[in-house]
Amino acid sequence: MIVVRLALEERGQSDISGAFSLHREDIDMRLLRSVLAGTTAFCAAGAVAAAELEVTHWWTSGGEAAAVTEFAKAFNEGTEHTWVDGAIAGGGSTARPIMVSRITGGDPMHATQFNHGRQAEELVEAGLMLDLTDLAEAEGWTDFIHPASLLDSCTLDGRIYCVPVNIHSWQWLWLSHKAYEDAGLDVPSNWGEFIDTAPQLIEAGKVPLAMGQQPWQTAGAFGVLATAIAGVDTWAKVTIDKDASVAAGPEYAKVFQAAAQARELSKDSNVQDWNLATAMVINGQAGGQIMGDWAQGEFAIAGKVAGEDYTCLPGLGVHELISTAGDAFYFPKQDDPEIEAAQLELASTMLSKTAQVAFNLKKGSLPVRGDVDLAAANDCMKKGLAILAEGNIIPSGDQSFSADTATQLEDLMVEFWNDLSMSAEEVQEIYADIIADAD
Amino acid sequence: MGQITLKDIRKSFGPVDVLKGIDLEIEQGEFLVFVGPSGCGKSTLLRMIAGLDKPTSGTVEINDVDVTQVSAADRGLAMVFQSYALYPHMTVRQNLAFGLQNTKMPKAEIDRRIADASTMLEIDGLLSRRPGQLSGGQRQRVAIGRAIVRDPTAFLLDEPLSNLDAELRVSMRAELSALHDRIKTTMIYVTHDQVEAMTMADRIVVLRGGHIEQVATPLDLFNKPANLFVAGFIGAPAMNLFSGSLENGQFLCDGRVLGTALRLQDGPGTLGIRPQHLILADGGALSGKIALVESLGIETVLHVDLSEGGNLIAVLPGQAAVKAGDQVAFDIPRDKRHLFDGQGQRVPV
Amino acid sequence: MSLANSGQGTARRPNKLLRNLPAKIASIPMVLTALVVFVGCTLWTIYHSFTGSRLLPAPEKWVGLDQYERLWGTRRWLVSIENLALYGAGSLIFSLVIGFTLAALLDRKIRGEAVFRTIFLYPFALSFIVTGLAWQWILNPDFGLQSVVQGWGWAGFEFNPLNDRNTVMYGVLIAGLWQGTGFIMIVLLAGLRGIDEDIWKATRIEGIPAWKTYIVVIIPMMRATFVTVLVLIASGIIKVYDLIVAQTSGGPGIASEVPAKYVIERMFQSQNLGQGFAASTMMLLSVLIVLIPWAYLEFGGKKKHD
Repeated sequence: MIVVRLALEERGQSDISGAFSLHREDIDMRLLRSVLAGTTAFCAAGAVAAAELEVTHWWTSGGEAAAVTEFAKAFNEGTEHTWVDGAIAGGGSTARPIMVSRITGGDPMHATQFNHGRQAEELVEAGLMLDLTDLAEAEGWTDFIHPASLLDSCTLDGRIYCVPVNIHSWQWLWLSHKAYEDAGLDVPSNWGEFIDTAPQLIEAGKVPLAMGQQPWQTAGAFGVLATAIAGVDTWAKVTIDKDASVAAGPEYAKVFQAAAQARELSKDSNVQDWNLATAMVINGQAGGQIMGDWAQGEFAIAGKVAGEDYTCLPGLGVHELISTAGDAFYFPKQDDPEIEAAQLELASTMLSKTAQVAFNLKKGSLPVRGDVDLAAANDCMKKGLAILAEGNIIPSGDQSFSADTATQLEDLMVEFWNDLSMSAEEVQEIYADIIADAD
Repeated sequence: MGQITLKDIRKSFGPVDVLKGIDLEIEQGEFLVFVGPSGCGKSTLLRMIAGLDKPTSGTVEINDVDVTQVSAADRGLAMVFQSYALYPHMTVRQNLAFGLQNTKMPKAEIDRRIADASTMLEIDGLLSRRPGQLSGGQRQRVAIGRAIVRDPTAFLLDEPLSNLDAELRVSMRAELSALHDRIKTTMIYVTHDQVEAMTMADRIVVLRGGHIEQVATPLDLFNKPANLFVAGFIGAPAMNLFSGSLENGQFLCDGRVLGTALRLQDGPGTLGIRPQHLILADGGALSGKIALVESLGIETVLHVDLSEGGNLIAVLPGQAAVKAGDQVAFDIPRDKRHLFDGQGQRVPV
Repeated sequence: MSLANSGQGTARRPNKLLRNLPAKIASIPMVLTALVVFVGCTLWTIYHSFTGSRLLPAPEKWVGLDQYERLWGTRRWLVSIENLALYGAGSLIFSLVIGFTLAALLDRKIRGEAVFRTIFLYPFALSFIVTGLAWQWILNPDFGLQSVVQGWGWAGFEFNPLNDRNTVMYGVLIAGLWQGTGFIMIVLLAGLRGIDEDIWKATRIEGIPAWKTYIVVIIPMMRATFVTVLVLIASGIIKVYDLIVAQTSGGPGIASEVPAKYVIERMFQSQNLGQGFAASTMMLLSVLIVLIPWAYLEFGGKKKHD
């Protein structure tokens, strides 16, 4: 979309209603563009090529929105182009189908968020995504992206198709100091202590474990319990090698027992959304929450200080490790070389040192570059960085399971978590069946 | 027994008085017809008798028992409706049996009654059909059959023939009369068609505006209408009416002397003469020019514009040799004229 | 009946193809649209339900009945079917009973009928999404009906259907009925008004009680109206997807999942078109199982009568 702005208003809105109206404007623009193709080309010859890139993502909570604004700022200030925000409310499971249908339906946005891993696999295979390999080689991405598995997740047949922007680890237990103080207890230092002190918390009128009922939350929490209780090797056999016999075996039986216990402890948390569950920890209603490090953004916005108001235990305090889930940006193919150039500039911007630091500090996630200085990072992030530096990392579920398997597991977990009559043995059996068929 | 007595029946819907005090004795076995223009209250009166509606005041007695507060079902009456009101999803047999089954009548008795009624009405071949598969006349018979099987103290018929075509109406009229002669049950029949009233009724009740205008046998009604309304309502074409005044035994209208030697009080009045009773006569009291001739074969209807203004209708027997534009004059036979006083009431001549 | 008659009428004409030719030409685009869009896409969907299509359709990945085996081995699908059956039966019975009772009461010419009619009809103007959200709040134990009644002093009052997986479908049913019954009532009321007044008089003379008249006479006479109403209710049953999404999101757990939601989520969230198509084919099949015998009775049986 070349310089002819056609007196369209400045499109810096980041609110959702604005985002929706943008789509239509963009279609209109495209139409106009084809109609005015001749004149446009003529004007473009003498002007600097500036493009407006529509970027879709599902970052709408307070911390998330603040973080994504950092990217927009870096792009708008650092290049000639303009970031047009296309936030889609409702979380990834709502946003992804919209994004996919726009790409497959012939109305692709210019850049879009996915969790890196296998969510966009087929879109890449179908040739709908821009190949970033040349840019990656020119900038030497393989040299600074750490851990390397992140880039592997963006690679198909040796070509690179996405830009990882952050590392999000699921492996955290967030504990509320206030809740434990109210109950007259010390803050636990691992999952075992957490379980042991739970009855006293209940006596003090607290909910030991806050748990939102969105499917991905229960499935994610189970993954965390699995690495912590069964250990990384057993977890890897099930998750990466898809070994159903291990999933049905005694090691995993312990995991399901623990999950049943966690279910019991969370049965009084009547919330749906993860940030509401986090809020229970923040205001001391709940003892703790198993949640990824994005929860940190909520603590930060509430003005809470790590180590004083809350404690974070990576790997539930049992096995200290980081799973390398995270977000990545893909650039759907356009037929306009000007736009393509702008897309590459955006890719480059997202990986720049300044943007990485600014974005990840706000987001509460870890940067994908090993060579940036995060002096401003808080206690929990520093813990994470240290684990990352030691290389105690595991791939995330998104990286190992297809969307199909992932949703099957989510369905199973959400059922298990809500149906107190479903026994650990029963759920383990079904779980093993899904693993047997998984891909 | 089927004697019905109405005593000062009044009915108001809000501020509107539909019936303004009806007193009527209906004899056992009588075929009584309610006739009147639409809105005269005849259907409302029938509903009062049926028990479908309660009067605002007054009483209904059947066989000397006050049934004013008795429900429709317990009055022992049967009703036939203009739209037949058959149950479309039931066969003819079920239609006939439905009401009886509801009274827990033994099946054998029901079957016997249906057999009797269907034979009488010649619908025994139709018993397994549904109303949708019947002609209008057949449906009407079924509706009557449904009334007959109830063996009622009286039949109430609410314009039962008005949905039939003209030909069928004539034959059904005769059949109804025959049926009445045969079963001799009281029948109360509502119609706006005076021919139906005249042909079938033992007595006719002429209603207007919630009042009874006259109760009489058909011929009395025709020969001695009690007032101007009845005079104009009964008979076709309608009676010619001339309003004028009585002076010294003469009836004057627009300067013409239409009647003489009347031993009556002076004052305003109306003189009536039926079209059929006018006699063509040169130098007759009424003269004018023929505007329209309707030759019906058996009789000839003349529409005449009178010289002194106004017009009249005359019916001549046979095929009269007249045509439009002819000047004609009529005589009024002394014994055929009807006189009404200033209040429109009949005055004996 | 009239349909069958006119059908026979045209059959006797030799040039029936040429009759109403302009009208036939004019309807060609719509016929083509119907064939391509409805029949064509349905066949396409059914074919792909036998493939291993993931995010994108893959006609070459033939897997036979695998998708169906997996479908019927999935607890969530079974729960969905059960829920739809429960909601369907409940909505059918209660819409009809409540709708007809209200219509019959209004038909008694009560005072202020127009007001009642408007009140009952109002919810129908709302989308299922709005209805779902509204009832999510009303049934919320913390600030909905339960807390209101408890606030009146009935401390022991408990009404929290949405948070119990055994009762959640009834909570959904309440919302569905609240929205749809008014309209059903209006349609039935129109049908009642179409009944000849004389029928009522006839039954009163015959001493048939009002309730029996409704059941034995009036309802059978309103057959056409009831067919319309059944279609309306059936479409409401299919549309329950919106209500579920707004009111419960399928929860608690998977206790209020419905087949349409399974289809949508398999196709777009799981990126497994094959599985979604298999489920939607099963939905189509179940509709046909109901529809074909009905159509046979309705249209096939009529011809014999004439």
